[in-house]
Amino acid sequence: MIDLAALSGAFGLLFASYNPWLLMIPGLAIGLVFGCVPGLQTSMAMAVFLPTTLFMDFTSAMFFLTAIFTGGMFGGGVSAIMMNIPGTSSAVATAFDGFPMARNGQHGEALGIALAASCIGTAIGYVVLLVLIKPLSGLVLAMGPTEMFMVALWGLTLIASLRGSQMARGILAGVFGLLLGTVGMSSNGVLRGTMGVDFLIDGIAVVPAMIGMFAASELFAMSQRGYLVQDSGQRTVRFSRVLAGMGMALRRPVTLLRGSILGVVVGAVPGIGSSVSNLVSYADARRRDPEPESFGTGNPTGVVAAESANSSSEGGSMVSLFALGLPGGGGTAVLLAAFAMHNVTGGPRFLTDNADLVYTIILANIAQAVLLLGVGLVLLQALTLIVRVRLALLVPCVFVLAAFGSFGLTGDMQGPYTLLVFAGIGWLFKRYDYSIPAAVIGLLLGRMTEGELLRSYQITGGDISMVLDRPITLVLMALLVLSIVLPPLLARRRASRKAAA
Amino acid sequence: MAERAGRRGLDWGHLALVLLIAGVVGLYLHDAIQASPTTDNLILILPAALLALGLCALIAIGILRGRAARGDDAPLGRAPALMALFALYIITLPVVGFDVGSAVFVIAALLVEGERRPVQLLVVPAVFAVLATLSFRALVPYPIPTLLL
Repeated sequence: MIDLAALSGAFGLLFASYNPWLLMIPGLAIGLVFGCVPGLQTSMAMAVFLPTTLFMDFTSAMFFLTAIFTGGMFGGGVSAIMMNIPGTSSAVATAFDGFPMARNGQHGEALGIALAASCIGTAIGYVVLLVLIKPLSGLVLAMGPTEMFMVALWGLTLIASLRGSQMARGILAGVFGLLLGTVGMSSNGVLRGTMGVDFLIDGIAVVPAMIGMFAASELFAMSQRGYLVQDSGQRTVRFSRVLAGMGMALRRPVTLLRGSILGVVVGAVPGIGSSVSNLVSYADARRRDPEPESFGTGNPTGVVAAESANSSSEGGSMVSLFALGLPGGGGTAVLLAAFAMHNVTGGPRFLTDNADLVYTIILANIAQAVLLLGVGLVLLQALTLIVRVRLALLVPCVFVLAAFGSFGLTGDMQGPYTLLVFAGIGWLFKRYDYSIPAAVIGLLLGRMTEGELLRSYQITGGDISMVLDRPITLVLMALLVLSIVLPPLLARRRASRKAAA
Repeated sequence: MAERAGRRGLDWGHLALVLLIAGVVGLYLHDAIQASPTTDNLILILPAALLALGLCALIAIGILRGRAARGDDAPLGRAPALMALFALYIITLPVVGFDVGSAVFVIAALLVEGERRPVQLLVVPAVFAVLATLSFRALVPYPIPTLLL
């Protein structure tokens, strides 16, 4: 599966000069900072710094840009843990247990878990990519609308497991989010639900909406608490506690490995991979856990599952870029632009003609995973000063940053207006116990689910038997059904065995 | 729970939220049907909207019978004041700009929280607003509306 001649050429290229290596650390730091400011996206950081790569050779440019990508994947988790605002849509599931851990004074451990899971996830993701890039690229080519719909459906099943204590309210929140996600011009050109507002033609701006709901749900209610972490003795991030958190992640090797593999496979699905992979991994970890109800209250396994998957999805997202020349998301689109700037043509021949270059980039990213550990440990000390700021000041400042960030995302007032409306919805949902994560997942996946469902319907003409000719869809469907049906059956069996004993 | 709800009367706030969700869903469904009543257009919206309306009815009946678990009964505290300030901040942004608007919003929020020390109240928000405006202006590829900077 590995072209050994190209691999040895890659090692040669990798160590030909130390210049590209010097760019990795600033790249990681930039990605980390962009990732952890709510509203600033990793892809935005890559786009902002793209012009600087004009003066670099191709390898250096790739090292620098992919370092920003890697740093950003971890940065998104930092704000999810510290402020309950996922810095990127791929860090949504990190907030579910990361923020409760921070509120319990375990922010050091949570960040340590996120750092270790991110480093290991990134490394595993790229190792899998190194070995499987050829078969995976065939898989990506075989992905049709029915397969994409199954992947989206997989993400949506999380709504049911995140319903909170009130099942009807949780599912209503998820379905409401799903419906709002479809507002605007549909994939077959029909304009719905815009109520004459031009902003909504392209649909609701999902990231500002997500930030608004997550932020308002916790922060407004918290402003009178004094500090994010109540116990003054715990308001520092001790190195030892970050290390302890890393140990907690390492003590969950199966979750780490499963999350990383899920991340790279789901991440390879163009367009939706990184946003869905962390949700799928979280849902999977929750279903398998003997105490699923502890998820959402600060269970470290939830953070491990989410962070390992979102980091390894970076490797997955490279499959379609390297093998097919197709960007699967914002970050890889910028990388494709960098290809063009350096007169490198992406596409199906790129992998065969430039296998050594592809392997060099993959190896460099595995090295970045190790460097991220160092950069993360150094920068975390600065990033976590947040816990020492009084909430009376922190809350309005976070909202100001969110307003700036949402303006930056849309380029006009649509972002801040969306932020405001969804902050209101988030606050009301929180007050009446409607699951905000479920609503956010619905919103994230609504448009895509509808598009893929529609295309599946158009291709099959409504004849479900046509799905039988699509083996990947059938496998995905079987896995989905098994993942829903098996855990309760096993739990019941365990319970009856315990009762018998 | 029924006894609790009965003693405190109907949970009007929750009922209003459910009616609001049902109203938005109903309006959206109506608009989508008006736009194009084809399977292609309604393939997801119709079943999802019907499910949502059914759940709204179920929850509303629960509230009316006093059986639904009440929402967060914690006092509202300063949250409504902060929400109102935030709304004012966002709505006035195109006029007062991100620089002045952000500083004034943070100052007002601190006032609501009872902050009276002049440095914390005036200097910190101003410095934060200037730094945030300048950094976002450098990072974001669009012109950011400002009044002074």
